[in-house]
Amino acid sequence: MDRRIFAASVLAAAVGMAGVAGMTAAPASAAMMTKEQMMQVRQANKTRAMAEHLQKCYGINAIARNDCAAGAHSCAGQATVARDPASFVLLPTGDCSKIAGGSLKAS
Amino acid sequence: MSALLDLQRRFRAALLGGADAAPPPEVLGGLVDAAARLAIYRGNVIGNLTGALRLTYPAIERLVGAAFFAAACARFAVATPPDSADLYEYGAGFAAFLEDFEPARTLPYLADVARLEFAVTRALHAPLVPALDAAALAAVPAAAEDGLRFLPHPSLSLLDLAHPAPAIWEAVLTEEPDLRAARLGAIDLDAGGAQLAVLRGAKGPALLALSPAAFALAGALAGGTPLGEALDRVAAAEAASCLGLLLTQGLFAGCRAPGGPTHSEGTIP
Repeated sequence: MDRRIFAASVLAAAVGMAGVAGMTAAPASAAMMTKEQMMQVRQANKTRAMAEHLQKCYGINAIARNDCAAGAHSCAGQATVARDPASFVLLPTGDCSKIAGGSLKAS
Repeated sequence: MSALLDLQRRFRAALLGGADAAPPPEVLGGLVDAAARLAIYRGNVIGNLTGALRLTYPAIERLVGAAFFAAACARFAVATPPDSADLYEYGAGFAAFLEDFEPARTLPYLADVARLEFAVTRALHAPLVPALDAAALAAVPAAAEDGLRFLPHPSLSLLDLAHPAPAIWEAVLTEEPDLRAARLGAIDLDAGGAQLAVLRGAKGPALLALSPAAFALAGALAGGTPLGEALDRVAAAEAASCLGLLLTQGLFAGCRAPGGPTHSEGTIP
């Protein structure tokens, strides 16, 4: 098939798919929910919970990176220097050890 | 070179030069000597950049622990100071740094988790741009379809991961300790990787696992390859379903016909 015609037919089919998918996402007007719609609502709730969780983990609303929290006091600078353990061997000590077979093995 | 620029460059070199770097003679001593003053300044810079990295990479910090994370960040910050004043953009190279960081060698999946975290942060902070509406594509003239180019959505990252980073990421960021331990324990490190599109969906960041064909098509189109050429890289039978999926999921913000204006009017999906 000619490539130009192929691109046109693929695009038409894809646009058709995207259009249909857009319609199923419209709010259900009937009082009764189908099983599929209930699944969709459940999925939406799960997605929202995930989004809120992420906002917490990534400090979205709480902190702006450019607020220079650590830069406000000279004592913070001294603390950072004291914490830099340049003189001893670093080992990961966090939750990586809870992944089965995943870490802290000398390789 | 102006005297001010020269001073700034020497100060910067002393700041990033490690504990042994001598302060420029313009840094005066007093109750605290010049080297100690510079050390405080250096500590603040590193502490500040570490704070920015901590906000972008919470899963990495939990995986390796606070002390390891702070030490890794201090080294990364000195080797890779920010090239933008906006610290939301800082840390793009952290995954590559971790990949070569000798003390992290026992955790081969760490770099992939960092790639995922940077993509999630990008998705969370990218400008609010509506996704390309399929209706805009219907208006493209037939002669222009083969050469049609797509604009990737600003929140989009395409990740080819060798390790099960999404499962590790989700598990380690679980707040409830027992559930977190259970999820971490259930991870199979040999489960293989994933080809992901990470972007902002209607309800927050979305991680979409793509088939190899859809991932290849997404990569080609996001990289600016014209539609006809991009479709050559995908089996004909899969082409329409792959492209339909990418459009439905909002991977693109606009399109441009050869020689034509950019269509970017769309609706938020």
